[in-house]
Amino acid sequence: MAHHTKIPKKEHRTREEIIADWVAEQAQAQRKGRKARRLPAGDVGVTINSLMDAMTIILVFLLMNYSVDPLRVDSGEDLKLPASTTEINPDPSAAVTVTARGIVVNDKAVVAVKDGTVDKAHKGGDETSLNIQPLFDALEQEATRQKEMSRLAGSKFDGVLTIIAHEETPYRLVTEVLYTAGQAEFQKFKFAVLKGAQRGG
Amino acid sequence: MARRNKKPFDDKIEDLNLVPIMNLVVCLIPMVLLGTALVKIGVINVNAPKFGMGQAAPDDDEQKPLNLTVAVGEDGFRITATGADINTVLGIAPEAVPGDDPAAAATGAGPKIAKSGENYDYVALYNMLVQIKEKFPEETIVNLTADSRIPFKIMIQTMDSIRIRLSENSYPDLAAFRTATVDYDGNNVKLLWPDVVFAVAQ
Repeated sequence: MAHHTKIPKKEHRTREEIIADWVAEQAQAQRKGRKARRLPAGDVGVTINSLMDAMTIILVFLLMNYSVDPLRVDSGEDLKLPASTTEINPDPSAAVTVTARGIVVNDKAVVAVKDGTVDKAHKGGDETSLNIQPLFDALEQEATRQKEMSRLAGSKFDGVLTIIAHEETPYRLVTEVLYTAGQAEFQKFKFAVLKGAQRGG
Repeated sequence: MARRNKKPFDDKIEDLNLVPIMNLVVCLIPMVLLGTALVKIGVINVNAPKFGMGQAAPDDDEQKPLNLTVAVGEDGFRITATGADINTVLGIAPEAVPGDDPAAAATGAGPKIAKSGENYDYVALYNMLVQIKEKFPEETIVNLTADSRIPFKIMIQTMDSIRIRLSENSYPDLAAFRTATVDYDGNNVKLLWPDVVFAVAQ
């Protein structure tokens, strides 16, 4: 009788209980199995070799591009290039940068700009003058250096100047810069722009 | 364990620990990508500026140059030329000058292209310049001048509109102008008024 009563007890176990037991057993077996197999360290984890290869190639490619780029512009709040539909690529040349706060010749600040104008003290005290004296001095120095270099190299001084100007620079300041550069014997100008704009604004 | 005792020296080559290099590469790539790939810089060629508008051409010159000038004002464009009467070229009636302004008449003031709303009407400018080009196919020089407060980006957009010849001679609206394709002459882009010279308005 005692035996008899035990069996129905077992049969009365709910489905959930059976499943729970089974899961526990399986987990134990797995733990044992893992200990027994003991995989060598390093064989676990995702294979990243192919990813590594791709990344290394991309990095080298990008770094090459970076160093070959003849014109690099660090855009910011005070230097946003205007967009254009042009397809012409920049060439290495001397560069004048006109930001909202100053004029820079080849990474050297030469004169400050305030509200889109240069202080008249730098223009010989004359508001209507187009010549910006500190800019002229810096550009003349650059022109002399380039002429000396082309003389030694047996080539001709080409007088090319790249102008990197903020998009909100007033036309007056642009012409002042162009005039001053013209006085320093730069004759051809290239305006740096961002490619890929829509025609008509 | 048993295997290890049999083979005391593992013939497998140990991998390098590449995790630090990976970290570096993963950081560098977005940095360099942001710095270069997204920003494509181009240039627009411009000739040395001419200072003082409407300077008389040398008298010994056999054919008087057209001396076409596009002026950008706060309220729109104005096309002028000293070599020809632009109004006649375009076949439009000259604009009535308020008051007696001999200076305007002397410089050969051409048509005015008013802004359409807030924006400059580049389409009308292109259409007119194509008409002028048809009459003077040899001319390539255009003077560009502007009021002193006009921002640089307007000048760039104006140059974009007048330098390159598109497939059509005229466009009805901005949408058509934007989707227009550039006209090619063999492998080279056909040019409209490519030699832009900056000038200063007096």
